Amino acid sequence: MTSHPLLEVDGLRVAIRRQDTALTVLDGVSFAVGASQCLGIVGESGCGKSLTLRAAMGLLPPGIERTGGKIRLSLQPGAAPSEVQAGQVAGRGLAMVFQDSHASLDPTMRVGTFIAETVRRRGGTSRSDARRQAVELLASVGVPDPKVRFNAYPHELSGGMRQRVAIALALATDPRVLLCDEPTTALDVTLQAQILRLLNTARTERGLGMIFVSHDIAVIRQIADVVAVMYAGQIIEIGTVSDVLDRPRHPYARALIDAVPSIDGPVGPFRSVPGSPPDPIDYGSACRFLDRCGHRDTACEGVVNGIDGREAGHRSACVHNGTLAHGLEAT
Amino acid sequence: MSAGRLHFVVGRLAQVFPVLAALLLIVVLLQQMMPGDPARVIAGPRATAEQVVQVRHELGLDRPIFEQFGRHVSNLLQGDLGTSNRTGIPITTIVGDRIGVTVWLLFGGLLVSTLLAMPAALLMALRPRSRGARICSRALTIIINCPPFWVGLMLASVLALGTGWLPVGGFGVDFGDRVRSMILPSLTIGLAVMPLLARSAAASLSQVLTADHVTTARSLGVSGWPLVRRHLLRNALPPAITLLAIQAAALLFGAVIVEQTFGLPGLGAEMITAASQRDFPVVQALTLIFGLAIIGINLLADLAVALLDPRTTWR
Amino acid sequence: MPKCFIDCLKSGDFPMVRIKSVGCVLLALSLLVTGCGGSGGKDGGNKTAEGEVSRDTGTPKRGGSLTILRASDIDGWDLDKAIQLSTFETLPQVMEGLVRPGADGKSIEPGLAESWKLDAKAKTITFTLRPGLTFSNGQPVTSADAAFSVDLWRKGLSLGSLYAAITGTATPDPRTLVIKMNKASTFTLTWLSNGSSIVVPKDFGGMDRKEFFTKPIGAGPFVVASYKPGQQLVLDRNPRYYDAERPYLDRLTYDVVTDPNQQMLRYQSRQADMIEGVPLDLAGQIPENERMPIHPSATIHGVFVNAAKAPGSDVHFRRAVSLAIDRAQYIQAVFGGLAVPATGGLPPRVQGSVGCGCVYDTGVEKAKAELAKSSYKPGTKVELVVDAATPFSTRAGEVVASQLRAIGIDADLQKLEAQVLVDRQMQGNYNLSLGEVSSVSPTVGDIFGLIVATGGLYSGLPMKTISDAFEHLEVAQTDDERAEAVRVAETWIHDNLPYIPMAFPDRLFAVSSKVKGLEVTPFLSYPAHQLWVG
Repeated sequence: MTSHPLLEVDGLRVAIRRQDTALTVLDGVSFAVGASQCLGIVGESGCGKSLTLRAAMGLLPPGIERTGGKIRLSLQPGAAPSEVQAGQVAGRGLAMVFQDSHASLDPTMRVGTFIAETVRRRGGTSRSDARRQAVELLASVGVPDPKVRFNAYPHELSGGMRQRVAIALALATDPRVLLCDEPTTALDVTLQAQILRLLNTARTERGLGMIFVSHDIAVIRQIADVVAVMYAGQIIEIGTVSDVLDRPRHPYARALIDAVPSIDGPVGPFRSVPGSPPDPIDYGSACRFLDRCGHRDTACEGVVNGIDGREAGHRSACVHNGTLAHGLEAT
Repeated sequence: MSAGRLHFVVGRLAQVFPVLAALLLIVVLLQQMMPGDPARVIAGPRATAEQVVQVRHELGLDRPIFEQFGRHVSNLLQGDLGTSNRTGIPITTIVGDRIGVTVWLLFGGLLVSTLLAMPAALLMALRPRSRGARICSRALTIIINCPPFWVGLMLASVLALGTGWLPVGGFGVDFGDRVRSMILPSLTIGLAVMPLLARSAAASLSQVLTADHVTTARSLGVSGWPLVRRHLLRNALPPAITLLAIQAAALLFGAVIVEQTFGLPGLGAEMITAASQRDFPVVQALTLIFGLAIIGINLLADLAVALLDPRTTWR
Repeated sequence: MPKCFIDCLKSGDFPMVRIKSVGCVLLALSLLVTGCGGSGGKDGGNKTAEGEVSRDTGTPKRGGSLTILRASDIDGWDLDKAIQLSTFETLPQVMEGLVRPGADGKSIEPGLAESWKLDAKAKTITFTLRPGLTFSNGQPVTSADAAFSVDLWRKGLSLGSLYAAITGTATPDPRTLVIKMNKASTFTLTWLSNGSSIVVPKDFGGMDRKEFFTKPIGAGPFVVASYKPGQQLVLDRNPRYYDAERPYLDRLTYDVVTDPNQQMLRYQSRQADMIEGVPLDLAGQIPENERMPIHPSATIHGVFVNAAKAPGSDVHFRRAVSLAIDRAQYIQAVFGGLAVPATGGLPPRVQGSVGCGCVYDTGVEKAKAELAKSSYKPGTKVELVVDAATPFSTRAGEVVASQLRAIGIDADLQKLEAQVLVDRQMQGNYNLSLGEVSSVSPTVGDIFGLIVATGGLYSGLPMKTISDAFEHLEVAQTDDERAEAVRVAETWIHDNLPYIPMAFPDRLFAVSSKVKGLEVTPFLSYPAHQLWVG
């Protein structure tokens, strides 16, 4: 990371509020993203990666709230990130691309109109100018016949087309950082590749920061520069893509990466990690992977927290931190 | 409009005729099966059996059912609704005299119920945990359990008789009188329909609130009233409109009760009198009109939904 | 003789005293039986006839208008359709007849005819029309119009048979109408005062019958200003009426309001000045000095019995039912005291209402004994059908059912819609039912026709005695002869019980202090030209 990061998340805590009790599900998550940089976040379902993005945007669902931590965003190019309130960043510096484009576009709005309105919301654009920019945006995300498609309704477009529209919408807000929540998961491999290419282009052309959440390691490998691995509401490993994905240090990260079947690897039993992540009720301050870890020993009894993703270098939350033998006993 | 929607509109319009025909047939058949002899009602208790037969013949009731039905339909096609057996007055005159009252009442009721239901729905959907929303919800439960004739009676006794500002009933002669005489009946019928409308609109709104496309809109920076207006309402309206159309039957039924309670000379009151006196032509004509009204309302609702939701197609 | 006849009818002469004394005995009995001061409304006026309150305090003033509420509209202007009492009341206000009923409900007064005389054999009545009579449109009223009208009455749909004695008419001059009868029917003369004997222009003034009766023209005190059937009837003063002083009112409006609560509200808010026929269970809502009871009305309230099939076919069963009904208790529970226990099967307080001096006994033990004599098998369901429409009728049904069960009759109460009930009665598809029948004229004779036409109020018993009695009644020349004929009928009814008379109910009018000059006959007729605004 050179110069200032565009987005800095500092000690983010999120809890589910039920009656009078609050159940912490995100436990002190910290990371930063710089210009033209893509941070990938991987983890299995329920680890909190989507929640992290939503918390940053201020789009948490009802019943879930941010209970701690700060978010800082660099609003002007070159400026240091300043603290922002939740609910003030959406559409004004941060934009998001969602997974399910079928439901995520308003079915009663023509896509072009929606984009044009989004452009106008930034201010200072006339209606005809906004229309023109909308058509250009559609073209830039690879929608053929953008003038015709301007008038289309979402249900008249294919899945891939809709995802392009979603990206166009996000870009229409002229964001500093683009948050992507599994945008390619619902697409087939060809489309996936196209969308990833599109995102990459947008990133480099506009100098955007990007956070890309996925459970698909292969995709992360393609798009991210830095990877954070999340487990049970914490970041448990972070580093460059090659560092983390080729030389994981945390037993969980290793198990996750090993679990991906490779087309040119040996044919063998499907390797998964036995057990399941702990329930948020049971989150404690000890290592949350303890019960499933095959490398448990007396040193693990110590207090272990998640790591601060802002610090440089390849780090992991495991006390053994990479000193374990490669490989995992299948149980 | 896209081909799908156009197809839907045409299909929906064409559907009206078979439904109407079925309605007519059912009404005629039901009346034949009803106990009670219209000829006897007109002839009175002192008439001899021969005199009753004579009356029956004059009314054309001794013809076979299908001949009666055929004549009825051919009259209808010429715009003739028939004449009342009891008074001999052409039914088009009766309807013309009375339809105004019923239309005023339904319109007033719809206005009141919408004006009351919409803010309540918005409050309950957007601020569900606030005190206002909870008071609202409890008030709705109370209202939905009050029968309309009781509500009408209470309103008339307290607000009309008690204060003297409003008439206790009747329709009035000039425009000003009529507006004043419609206030309490509209309020009564509006209150009867309002709870269901408010609840369904609130449910629909809540559902839309957590919908993905709303999250998208919020992620793009849309908030406050523009969010509600553009992304919530337009998507929440179709289910609410559909439910309101289904309620149309309840609204008409409520109109009948409210007309009786306030002594309004409308179609509902006429229907009850005609039915209790077995005045078949009037009952048939009014059933046709009510049926048409409900069919029309449902048609309008479906068309409104088609207008609002571009995904509508004919299946 | 004719002049005396009229005088006797009008004044309180010997025959009238007889009827009056019987009436007083009835009243005394009713007071004794109900054990209280009677229904309200006895204060605020002087009593003229039994229970009626005269409201003639002050001098009548010209002008003003009144609004009267009724629960249902008239049956139409065509006399053929007249069924309800309100129709009989209203038709003659526009189309006055030859004679009108007297306020006491037993006599007749001049109408369009200023005088009449009978010939020696009393088979011809010669009416002399008033001089200078015109219809409301200015056309003169002649005997030709009257003769045309008499013909209409004779051919009437349901009431025509009551004019059966009339064979023809003659019109020797424009002011003289001669009615020829095939017997010396005094009944016919009194019957001519009923509200469907209306005088209309000859040949309906050139219009067709249906057309005429949508905008009727007559020589009565009022003209139809506007008529919205089922809603409102507005009558305006007829400026060409033969009586220069009357009607006092400029305008009389009848509003049709079916819902009793709405009626009350309109009355209490003074949107209406009078209510014709307040349901007896709402009597308490009217202030006492505004209640005008017709106590009792010329109505019989009773249990109709289907005597064509078991168990009603057994006279012991019918007697048991009659004994089981505790009439006093019934009147208190159902009418709230606003009725008189029935002392006969024919309506009271009209000409000829003498009863038979028979007693309608009551008593649980006597009833059980009588039931034991009958062929009724205990445990057999006996269906009692009543009108489901009003709380009054359903309560009446419940009281009767419980009294029957108390003596061991397994009464099964069924509440039916009005037309379904009528249907079942007509077809003889019932065991017991509750109902009321009323007189529509000042003579008890018109009820004979109804009883015969319905086979003894739907009982199915042979009606020979009743029709024979009517034949005697018809030609009775004196009150004694009349009383004799009626007594025969009453005795037969008492002994054979084609129906079981239970009560003579009151009718109740709500009358605000604005209404003056109201006098209501027992069959709910009141001369509207006498009303004035106080």
